Amino acid sequence: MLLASSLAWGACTFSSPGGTIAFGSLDPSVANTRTAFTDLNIKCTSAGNTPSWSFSGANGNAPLQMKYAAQNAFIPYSVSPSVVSVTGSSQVWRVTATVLGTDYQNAVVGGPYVDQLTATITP
Amino acid sequence: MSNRLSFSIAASWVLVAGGADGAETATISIYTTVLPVCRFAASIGSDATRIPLDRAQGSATGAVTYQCTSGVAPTFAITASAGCPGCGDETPSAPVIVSYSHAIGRGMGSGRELTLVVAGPAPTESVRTALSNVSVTVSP
Repeated sequence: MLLASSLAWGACTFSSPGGTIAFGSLDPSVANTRTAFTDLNIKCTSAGNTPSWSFSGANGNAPLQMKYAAQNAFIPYSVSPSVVSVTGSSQVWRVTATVLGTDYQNAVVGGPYVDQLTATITP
Repeated sequence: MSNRLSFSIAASWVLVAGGADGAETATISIYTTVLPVCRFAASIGSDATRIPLDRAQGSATGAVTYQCTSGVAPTFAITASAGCPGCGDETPSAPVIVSYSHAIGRGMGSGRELTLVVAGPAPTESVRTALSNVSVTVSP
């Protein structure tokens, strides 16, 4: 009982519903690495607790990838979380997504390319 | 007593899992678009280039490679080099596009270049000299 209570006390949950990461328009003739991010708020029942993050995408996880809605075309990307601020039990985390130039220099024109990324924090 | 303890521990785990359900995940929408662009391969990043012409007897021809975003058709604009003071009545006409692989862009990566060929009539040496270079632009 005590063990279970201590785990519950250290748990973190999202206090914001989610976010959007928009890369804007990618120019294949430049094809440099592009990043974009969104900030998410979480609340931990134990101050100082740092959650572990995992991600899964609607279009696969190895790699994560955005899908062209009208065609069978994809652009891979990666994500990484980093802490922005900690105020008591409230934390702000930044999820940064990265697209490599080599991964879109031959991509089909247009779009949008879209993915629904699910971020999970534990404990 | 042992059964009661086991039940308490099990119930606590259910509460932990139940209390975190839904709140431990967040959904992030990710999106982008890919621009339609065409560029000359020898000068990636440029939409204009000069094509050195091979001035054979009676004509002048030249070629240059280009690349476009996958799925994009190029549009070219071509102009001859300016003026020909010594040409008299044989004012050179601008070269025309002979071929451009009749292609849709295949991307900007290595090995995906397409070829644009231009040619113009050059009946005399003066005209051939005037057509020594051709300026070409490509869009989008």
